[in-house]
Amino acid sequence: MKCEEFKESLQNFLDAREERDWPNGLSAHASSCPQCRTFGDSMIALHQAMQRLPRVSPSAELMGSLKKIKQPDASLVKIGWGPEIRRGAQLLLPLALPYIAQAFSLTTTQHVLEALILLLGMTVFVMSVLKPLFLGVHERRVSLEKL
Amino acid sequence: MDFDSIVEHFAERIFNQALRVLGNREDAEETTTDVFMRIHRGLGDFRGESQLSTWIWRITANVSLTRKSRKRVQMVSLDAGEFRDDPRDDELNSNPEERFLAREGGEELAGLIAELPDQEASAIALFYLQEMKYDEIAAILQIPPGTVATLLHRGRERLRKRIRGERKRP
Repeated sequence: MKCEEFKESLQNFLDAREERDWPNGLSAHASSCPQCRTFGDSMIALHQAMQRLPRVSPSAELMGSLKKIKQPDASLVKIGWGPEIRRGAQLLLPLALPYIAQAFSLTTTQHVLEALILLLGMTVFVMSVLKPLFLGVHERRVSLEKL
Repeated sequence: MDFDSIVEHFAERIFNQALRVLGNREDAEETTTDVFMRIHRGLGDFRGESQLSTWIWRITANVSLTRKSRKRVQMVSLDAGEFRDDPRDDELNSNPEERFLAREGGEELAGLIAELPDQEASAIALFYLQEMKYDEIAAILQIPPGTVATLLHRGRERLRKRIRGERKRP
């Protein structure tokens, strides 16, 4: 084994996080190459030190501030302009009510136009109720199961 | 799992990841807050194309590295005698590397990790602190698994040289 191969193999050995002695090939080379022995010893000491790096607890203030972040409705997310349509429909409907009675006794062209306006308003209302079908507005559950 | 549960589950780990990458507590706390603000805002857009944890760690990596690039870590000065041997160490051990690695609960080593190039610091912290595998780190940093290995190898080698006093800055 050449010195470069030794270094590469040693790094791969460390990446594997194996809790055992060096593989035979590495040991054999290290025993005959003082420089690689030194390299290997220092890399393993470094590897072990990094495995022992302490975990630091975040401050209570930080944890408190994180929990104060306004909680979204994490399981249900609404997308689209449904609320605006619904608000519009709520405004239109009272205005349209007087025409509902007239629509049943249509005699003139004007009343036909009024009925069309009424129909448009009612359509908007129905669309807001059936928004998932008409507007592609949908509710989506965010799956946290993959966590 | 709601937002509070995400905070409970990830806050300490995200804070530690940021601490190792950025090297100081103040930046780590601000980064952790920023990460959770983004999680809060982005949860509705999360499409489940990756695991939630991968998405969260990706945000963490991006926020940490952005902050690091804006505000360079206050380097632990090698020239200021930070690694000056403590005479008492001589009584315990004659190897300066082992003395360094054993001192102060690894805080000096943690400082050196924060001085690594950005991607190396992230990969090292994800590997050692979060105990993640190649493919998990690759998914978070959005690099091929082979590049993860390269980052780990280079990072370790750079740290070893720094500890030995071969003062080549990243």
